[in-house]
Amino acid sequence: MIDTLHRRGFLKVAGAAAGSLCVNLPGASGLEEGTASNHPRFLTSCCAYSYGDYLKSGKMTMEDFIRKAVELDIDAVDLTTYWFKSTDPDYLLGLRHLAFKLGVLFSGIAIRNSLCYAEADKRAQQVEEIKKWVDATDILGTSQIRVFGGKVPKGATDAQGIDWVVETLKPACDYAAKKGVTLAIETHHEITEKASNVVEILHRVDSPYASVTLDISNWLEEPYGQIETLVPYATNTHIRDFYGPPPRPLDLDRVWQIFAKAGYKGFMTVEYESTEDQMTGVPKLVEKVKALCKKYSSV
Amino acid sequence: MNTAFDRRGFLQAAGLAAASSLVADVRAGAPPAEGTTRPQPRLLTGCCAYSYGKYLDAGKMTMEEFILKAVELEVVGVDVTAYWLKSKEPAYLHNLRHLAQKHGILFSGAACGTEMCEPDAGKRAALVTEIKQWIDVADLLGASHLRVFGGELPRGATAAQGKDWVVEVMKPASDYAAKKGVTLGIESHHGITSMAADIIEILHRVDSPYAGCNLDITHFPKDPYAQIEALIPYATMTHIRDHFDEPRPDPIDLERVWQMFVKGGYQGFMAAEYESKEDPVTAVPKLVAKIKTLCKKYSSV
Repeated sequence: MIDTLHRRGFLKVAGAAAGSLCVNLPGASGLEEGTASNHPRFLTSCCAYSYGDYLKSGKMTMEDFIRKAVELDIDAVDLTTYWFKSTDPDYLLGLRHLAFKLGVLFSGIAIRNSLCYAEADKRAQQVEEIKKWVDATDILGTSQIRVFGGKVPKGATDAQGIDWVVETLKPACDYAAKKGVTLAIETHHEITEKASNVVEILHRVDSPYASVTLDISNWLEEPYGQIETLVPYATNTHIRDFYGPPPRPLDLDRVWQIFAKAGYKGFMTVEYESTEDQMTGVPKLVEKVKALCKKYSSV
Repeated sequence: MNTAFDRRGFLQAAGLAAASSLVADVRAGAPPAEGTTRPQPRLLTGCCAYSYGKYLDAGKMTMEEFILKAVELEVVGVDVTAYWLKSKEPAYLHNLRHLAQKHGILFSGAACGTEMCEPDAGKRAALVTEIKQWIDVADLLGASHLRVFGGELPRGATAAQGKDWVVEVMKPASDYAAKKGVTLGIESHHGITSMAADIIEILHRVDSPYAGCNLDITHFPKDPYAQIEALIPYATMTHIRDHFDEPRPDPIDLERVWQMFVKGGYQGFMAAEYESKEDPVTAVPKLVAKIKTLCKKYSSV
């Protein structure tokens, strides 16, 4: 299988030992080379989370949110599952059909979880929980799930935490692979605060169905360097226009340039989280994302 | 669900008594039902594998390579013409799904060659089974649309009989498709599907939110623009070429076609389905370029 992520991951590991190895890789066909970096594809999307206040209070349903995409003039929506009525197939198929009829794509779904448990039984429970969502993702006809790394328990080291995450993510990815679904671990503070930790987790999980949901905003420092490190592993992004804490502005144009240089192909997904009312705040952030995608995307 | 389609469903039901005036109502742009979004035209760019049929036939291109072509063509989605799938095996289909996902490519749908206009009841049952298998294929790809054909009317049969047979296949197939979240689009493609009125009648009688029209704009034997316009409210997928079929391969006024889709509030893919003498490798990008220009001009997204 020609698999960019896997090849890149492999290259990174192998490249440290022998940079010339890449010419021997079967995946590195002429076609693949010709289509990689010179065609950045940025599709526009928005997380349901952006309208969390409205979804939480019941003023907006997931169906309303899907219709919002038409109003926002974006390609896709990302379904934050916190506000799903159920995982009943009829409900999920209703959402899939509604989106299809409106020409609205799904960039993926997002779940609330932790992969970082010291206890083996809790890790096993997490794997089961993720499997349930893999099935739901498949019913929706979409192909990726945002998962969280989670918090390293008090007294444990980062190294231990990474072990636990790998032990949970690996069997979950094996199951996801059988459904054609990718598990994309989000850069979201805690065990995923440093890009280097995320890269180590992915190398050790070593599955083409493991990737990154690159939230560009969750950094204490050096946002651009960390983003650049992770773009080759990213299959989805979360976009805000600041990073932190403490909140500092992000140069989104610079961020898009980093993604374009790396030939990123996927969704640029608005995940609004500010004090302004979401009804007025989200469209403003969407406008910025649309303008940048128009500027840098080949599609 | 207050989808645009349900509104159409309602219009369809309401218009059953007077099918001719129904078309006029839709054309006039009936106001959206309460709670629906405004009918923003969303015209997404796509390309059918069929466009590269010569290469796929000859084994000079694999489905994987076609999917990656979308990156080079800079289109949003690809439509998987099933003729060149190696198998219906989940592992193979999941690989294609994964390849597309990794490259930010969406599937606008899949297309099978099943023709539904079959006089023999036993054979019709077999066709339903066949379509069900292709629905499973679409679902394994994570695609939500499947193109099916009406087919040729057998010698000696009446159009009324032909439509009965198509409905008898498409109805149970749509029931199955509904369980998988896949919509069946009957293509406007000669035979029993030559004229918009027949397709509309079939869809009214199948009466499923999972049955629509795969609107190929090129195959109408007469009044093509009127036929296209009549079918846009039912369209769940569109095939684009820049000239009509033989025997009168006149160029199509694509600008006019796009304007009709905009007026109809179409929300879906506009997929290149190239089929001419020029080498697809040089010709498909030209057709795609036309589609991209028009989508950029008329689409809200």
